[in-house]
Amino acid sequence: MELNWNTYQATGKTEADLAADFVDAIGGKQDFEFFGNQSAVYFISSNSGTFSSIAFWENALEHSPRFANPGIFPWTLANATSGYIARKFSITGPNYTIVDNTVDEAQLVSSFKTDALKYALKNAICVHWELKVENHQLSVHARWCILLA
Amino acid sequence: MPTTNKIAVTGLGVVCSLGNNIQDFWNALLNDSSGIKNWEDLEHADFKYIHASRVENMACDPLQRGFEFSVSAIEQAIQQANCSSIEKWGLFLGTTMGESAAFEAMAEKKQTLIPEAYTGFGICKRLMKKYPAMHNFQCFATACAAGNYALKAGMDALQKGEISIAIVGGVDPFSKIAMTGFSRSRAMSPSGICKPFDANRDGMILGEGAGFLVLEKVENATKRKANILAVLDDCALSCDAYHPTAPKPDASGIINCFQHILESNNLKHSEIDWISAHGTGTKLSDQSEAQAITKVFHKQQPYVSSIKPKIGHTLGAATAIEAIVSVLSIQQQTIPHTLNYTNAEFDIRIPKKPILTKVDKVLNCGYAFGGLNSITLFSSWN
Repeated sequence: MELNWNTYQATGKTEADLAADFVDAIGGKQDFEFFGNQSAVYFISSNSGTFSSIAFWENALEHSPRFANPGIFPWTLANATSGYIARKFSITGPNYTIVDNTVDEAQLVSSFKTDALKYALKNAICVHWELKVENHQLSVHARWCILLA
Repeated sequence: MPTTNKIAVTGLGVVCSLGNNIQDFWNALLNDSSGIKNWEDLEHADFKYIHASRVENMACDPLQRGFEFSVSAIEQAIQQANCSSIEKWGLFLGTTMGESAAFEAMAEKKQTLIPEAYTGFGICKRLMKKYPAMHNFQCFATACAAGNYALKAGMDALQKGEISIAIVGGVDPFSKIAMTGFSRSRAMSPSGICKPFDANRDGMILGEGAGFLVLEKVENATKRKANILAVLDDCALSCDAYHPTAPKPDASGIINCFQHILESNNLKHSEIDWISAHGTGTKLSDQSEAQAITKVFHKQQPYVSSIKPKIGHTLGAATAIEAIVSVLSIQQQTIPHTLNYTNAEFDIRIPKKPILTKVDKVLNCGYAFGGLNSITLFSSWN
């Protein structure tokens, strides 16, 4: 199975901003739809959540842990972005956040085929998501594709 | 499923506040002690809540605490399994925060570190270096359900013949970030007493630890005369796609997981002996879980209990440690109780004391922020 990756790059203030912008950008494409329990998310990143973790603890140090900004906390979790993608596209099938800096395409396809059989999946969205700080700005270099059963 | 594709559990290892070996851990689980206490360092750092369950008797490099917990648990598991390094191993790890202390140090500007070296990816890289028999790894940052995700991945890799031994587990060292975050999310227990499913429950307590299991095909274990402790039959996953932190009010995602695992394995409700519950002690999460159990099992309810009043919520390690408890309950034919449970709110069977009974099939449940739901099924072997 050949994966037809799309590329995506953006900058933003926070991981939350980057996730929202990404979903808006790909949601504008009308050439795919998802099917609730019969769709899945495979999200691969080596550093999702890390920049929010640092930002949250900086905030706690500045204001005391008692008064840290609770809005940052969910984004300290690496699976916050994959959860956001699931919510925006109503994908209620399996939702993976795999921590790696490369995508093992054979492994990814093999996992999807196993899950497609097990959960009667019709498709899945795969996202490879790497964050960077460039010129004091947070940016994401992402690739994404749709896997069809 | 043919016997040739069945997955055996042949080794267990644990690190948590109750013990750094399986025997001490299991003994402590069955008495009325708890690893939860007050911590002065949290009080001095102006944390609102200062109760936690932490590992005290292991000296660790703070930035490699997760790695060192993992090594300790893996050593126990591979010793029990007596697995040879000639075999092709795979590593499957679940974690929520990774080496959280490293991110705290970066925020404190104490050290310049590369973030990804301290996620689960970094822990896996170090474990791969320590254990040359490990040919590959998969790491899942699926929050508090991560251990079950690792179990599923290990099971899949064995069934596809990619490896012959799967080292599977979860780890999370104590995280000030998580302590602050759960407190600010109003999930922490003000009383400092974790009371899952109790009418007067008031929240969770944070823990830390690691749990690892050795998995292999039954035929592999039989061939090398390994002791099969239990069988991992299946894992079901779903996502609520509802809210970043709150469970879906109708519990439909959890219900889907229960139904999927029962139907896929042709199980009657009455065949499940025990549900090792997620049981965090928070109002919403316990309500959602209890609602799902009541809806799925109706009048044929298995026992339901949570070990979190004993060791706190160990995040990514939770479902791995609870998988170990599931296997031990089958081995010992004993269901652990739910400490601090006194006042019923839900129509579910929660033991207040350990129960000696037939334990043939156990469901191990883990749910997580991001709306993740996961359930694994363990059975006795022969």
